[in-house]
Amino acid sequence: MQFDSITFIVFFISVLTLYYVLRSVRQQKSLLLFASIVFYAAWNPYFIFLIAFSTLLDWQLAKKIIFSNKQKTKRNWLLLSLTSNLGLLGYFKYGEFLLQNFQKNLLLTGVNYQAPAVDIILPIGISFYTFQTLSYTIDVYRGKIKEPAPLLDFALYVSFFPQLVAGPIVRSNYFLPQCHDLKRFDTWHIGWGIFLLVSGLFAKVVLSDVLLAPFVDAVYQQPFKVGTVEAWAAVFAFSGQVFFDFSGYSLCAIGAAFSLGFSLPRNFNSPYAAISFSDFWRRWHISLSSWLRDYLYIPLGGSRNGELRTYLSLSITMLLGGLWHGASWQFVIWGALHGCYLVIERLLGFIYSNKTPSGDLYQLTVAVLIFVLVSITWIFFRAEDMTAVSAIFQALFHYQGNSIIIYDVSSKVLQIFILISLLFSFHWYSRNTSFLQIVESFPGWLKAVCLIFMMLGITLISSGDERAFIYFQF
Amino acid sequence: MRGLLSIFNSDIQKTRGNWGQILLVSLVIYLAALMMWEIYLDAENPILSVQDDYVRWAQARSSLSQNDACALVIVGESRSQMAIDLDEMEKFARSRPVQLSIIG
Repeated sequence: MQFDSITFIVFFISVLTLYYVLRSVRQQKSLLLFASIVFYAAWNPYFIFLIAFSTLLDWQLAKKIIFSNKQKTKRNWLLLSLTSNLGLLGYFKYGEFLLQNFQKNLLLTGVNYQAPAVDIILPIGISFYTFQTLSYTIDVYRGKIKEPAPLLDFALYVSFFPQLVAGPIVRSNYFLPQCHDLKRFDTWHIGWGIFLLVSGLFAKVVLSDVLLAPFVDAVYQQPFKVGTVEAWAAVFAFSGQVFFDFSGYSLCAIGAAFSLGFSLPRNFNSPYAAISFSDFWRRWHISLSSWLRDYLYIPLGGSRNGELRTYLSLSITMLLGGLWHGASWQFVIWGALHGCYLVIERLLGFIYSNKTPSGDLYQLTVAVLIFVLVSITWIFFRAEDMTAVSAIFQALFHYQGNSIIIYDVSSKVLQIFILISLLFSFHWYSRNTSFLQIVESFPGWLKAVCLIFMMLGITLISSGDERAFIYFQF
Repeated sequence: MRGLLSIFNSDIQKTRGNWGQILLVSLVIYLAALMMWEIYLDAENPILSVQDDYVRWAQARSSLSQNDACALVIVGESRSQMAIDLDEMEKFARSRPVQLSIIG
């Protein structure tokens, strides 16, 4: 069920109405759990059993870790949790990829092995809820959580429908304490929630799907026929598309949860205003990058064991972070490139420590440079295959004249550059504040004008295409 | 509750009472605007359909009858419909070509 569908609007209004009629916490949580099951089952009912299995297993294992006296036993239970969760993720997400690479490698040695077709369907949201359940058992093992959560609360934590399929990845110590209180009807929660939900839909439906996606699609579908200017426009346009798409989803999730009285963590913080790559990763998909930092980078040694070990930890973390996005070498390269940027940045910082200027103009120049490099790196993320990647790079760096593709890209170039300049300027302006604080400073009438404008935009400008959120595939 | 609330705690009381009015007023104006848009469209009396090829062909054909005798008319199949950029061709022709190689 997509947020930008009539089905979801009817579903959400029904849940919201019933939710605030109920007069006990248990009833409210049961309703939310039931609604989450319906929400997920609307896509594929069979995979409900997979979430249920993962939930029950980790809930039981966490209890066993808490009540075990021996450290070795605790470690074994944790290992079981890690193996089973990562095993499921590995099978569903990377099974075919591993098999294909196995086949190719055998072919290199002269063995022509044809594996039977497996056709594994990727359960939507598996990467997100697996990371949530894993963080719970790891936190329990680390002693951060001392009491086992009630099953209902834990099941709701894993399957809470606003963030089930594409995050933000919530930590249990953030979410579970919110399950204790009865949520009463409150216009402040509903108002903010709906404002954020509508803002997210506007970002997705209008800014991403209508203004940017058709241009990006046209160029990436025929990358061999594209001119240099159009190729650059498409590279920046995809930066905008992926930002509006994913941050739009996150805003929808935060808004829907807030309407129900739950707070979810912020997932984006003006990422294109980053003045370093580490700054970028503190601002982009914050819930994933902080997860990778706490559960992968720091256990690998972080920055505590010397410079070389730090570079290694950074590279492994970013490589696996790339692979988390999908079973493809392009995601691996994308992650590896970001790992390289972080390592080079750290090396430069090591060499030129305290020698870099700190003026606004210098920071703006660096931010533009980071934005351009991040945008170029998105090519690996967006292109269909490596042939398309090389075609786009060819168009970018070897001047080619006009595009000869059917969709009229040339006339849209100016529109794309204006939109992306506005996006960058907005990020720069709001780099030390947030979208929420900016809206908060508006008088009531201006909030209403924004809301009306966005609702009319969604209704009247929508392309009518059902374009799935990009991060649903992860 | 953390996260969002922590952003607002300084002004939490100031904004608490506003949202009911904001939502109500926005919803009323939004519905009124949609209704006016529908009335406007109805008054314009367009033929709205998922398949608008007949109308587009008829419009293009009627513009041709008003043109001079030298009008450049493109007829043909999907190849000439898809592969010809009218803006580009207009730069070389005296007037904008009339595209009739559309279904209809």
